[in-house]
Amino acid sequence: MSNNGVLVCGETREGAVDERTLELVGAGKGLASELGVELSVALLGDNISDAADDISFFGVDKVYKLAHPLLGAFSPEIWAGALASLCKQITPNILIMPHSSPWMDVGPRLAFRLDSVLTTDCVHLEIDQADSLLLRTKPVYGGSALAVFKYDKFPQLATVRRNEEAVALDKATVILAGGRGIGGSEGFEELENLVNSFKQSFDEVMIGCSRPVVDSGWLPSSHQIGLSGAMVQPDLYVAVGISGAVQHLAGMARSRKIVAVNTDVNSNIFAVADYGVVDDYKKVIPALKTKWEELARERDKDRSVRKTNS
Amino acid sequence: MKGIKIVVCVKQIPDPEAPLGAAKVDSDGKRMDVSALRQVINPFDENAVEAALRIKDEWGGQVTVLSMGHKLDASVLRKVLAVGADRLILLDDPCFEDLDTNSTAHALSLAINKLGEYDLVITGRQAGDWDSGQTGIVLGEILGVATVHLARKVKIEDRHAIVQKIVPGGYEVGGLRFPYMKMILLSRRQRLVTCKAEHIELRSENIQKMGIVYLMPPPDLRRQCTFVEGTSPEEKGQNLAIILNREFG
Ligand SMILES: Cc1cc2nc3c(=O)[nH]c(=O)nc-3n(C[C@H](O)[C@H](O)[C@H](O)COP(=O)(O)OP(=O)(O)OC[C@H]3O[C@@H](n4cnc5c(N)ncnc54)[C@H](O)[C@@H]3O)c2cc1C
Ligand SMILES: Nc1ncnc2c1ncn2[C@@H]1O[C@H](COP(=O)(O)O)[C@@H](O)[C@H]1O
Repeated sequence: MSNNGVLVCGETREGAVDERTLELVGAGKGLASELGVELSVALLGDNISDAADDISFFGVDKVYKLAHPLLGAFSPEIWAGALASLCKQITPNILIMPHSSPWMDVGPRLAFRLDSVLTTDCVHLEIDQADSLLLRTKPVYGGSALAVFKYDKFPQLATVRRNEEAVALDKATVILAGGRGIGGSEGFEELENLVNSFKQSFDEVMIGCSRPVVDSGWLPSSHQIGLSGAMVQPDLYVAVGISGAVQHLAGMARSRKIVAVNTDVNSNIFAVADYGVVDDYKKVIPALKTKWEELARERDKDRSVRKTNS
Repeated sequence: MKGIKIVVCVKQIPDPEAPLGAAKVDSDGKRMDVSALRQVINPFDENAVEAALRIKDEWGGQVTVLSMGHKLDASVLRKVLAVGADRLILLDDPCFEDLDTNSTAHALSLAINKLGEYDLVITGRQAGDWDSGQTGIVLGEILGVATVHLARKVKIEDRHAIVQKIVPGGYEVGGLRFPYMKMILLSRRQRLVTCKAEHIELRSENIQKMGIVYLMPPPDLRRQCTFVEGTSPEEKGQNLAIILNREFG
């Protein structure tokens, strides 16, 4: 049964293949064609027949259905056990998983049980032409460098970066993010107020934060932006009371426009910002809100005037 | 109930919160130049130590901190003694440098088994140098114990550990307590145990290094920042609104 191909581990959501698994299938397809081998997908769960049918539309050579009532609820031990047995049977050359919290729990166990080496949080995968081994690129030191790893143990294992926790956040047009400089959960009310007035003008406006905010219990971890949180690219990112640590930048520096409000002109956040305000957010944000509402009213008036003229 | 024996694995790393550009790729492109950075305890491991101390506060017992590396700086790691850990064990040997996950977890497991009985092992979520996030899980596999990934709170009830996990949307509470001055002074005199690879009977086939092919600088994230003018914070806020209106209105 050995196929020596590329195997993608997929996730299903409410019986359907989730869209991020399809991204991973795309990445797997590239690797498989470079190596001239088969691309397969493994789906685990209780009832996955529909999902398995769906995925065969996406140019996958084989789907392995690991269906069992015990696989219905996520259990890292059982999932790792099931996948390890599958790998022993079909000896994939490469196995890739999403970089999400369940797979980060399964992946290391799988690596250990198969005596292989896993590279987590890869942002790029390619084949080394010289020896056909997988080159795994991942950010290290919080994003201060990119490292390329290679191991000659099989299956070659990688988790691939994606924004699992950010399902909601990565749709945002605007993210207003607060950091330790906000000073407490009350301070976030100032940002909430601004959210409400921005909502009149933007499709989606959401609150984000840095890790200390989550550590202090001011906001739930689903709001965290950065290396160990969500990776986002909104049209506008407003960083308030955030110093700009590399791990935070990893999650937001690719936003289209970045505004930073910080009392310290030497803060690193200004290095990645398009616009900076050096002052106390408690005074800046309410003034921004009031003026924004005023400008929004004028815009609306102009528009209705233009409408009646035409 | 007798006290609980807890082992905490703590990694010493170059300060991951140093300013952008402080950690950079060495000219040979094979290692990181971190000479400008001070050494610290991995921040996630401080959370692990705090979780252990909270259990000790409630139940009594013994907290042993295990740290593995090469040229470990005791003055950095003694902080765990100053906040209330009972023992600090350093595994210091050139062969402990740049190990891959399986080897790291293997060496830690040998040391833990040498320590004798334990009730609970706590590790950090990920080490802020290579950002791998695997060692704790593999350690659990090797020790053959149930392992909870992304724990946020551990309580002991009826000799069972009740572990709360982070779920998307949940809260995560971290941070290590501050030491008392008296404890800092006392901790400086506390005896340390330092072991080498041979003391934990680490065999050469279990010493596998990370397979770094090369390192690259990250894409440049820098932008030209225009500072918003104004004589008061309010005026700056208004001017920012005008700019944003121009960009997005
Ligand atoms: C492995 C690892 C993973 C990590 N993952 C993440 C992650 O995913 N996301 C993340 O954010 N961090 C992460 N971190 C933590 C990161 O290194 C920083 O510690 C964190 O981002 C700092 O948060 P901050 O900017 O809110 O706080 P601080 O660095 O304390 O900055 C607070 C800022 O607020 C400013 N300020 C204070 N008062 C005011 C005021 N009144 N008005 C305006 N400004 C004010 C100050 O000048 C300061 O710049 C990670 C760290 C490690 C080691
Ligand atoms: N050399 C080490 N010494 C002690 N603990 C370690 C070491 N390496 C990793 N750990 C522990 O394992 C966790 C995860 O590390 P990593 O898999 O390297 O991201 C860390 O937060 C530590 O608790």
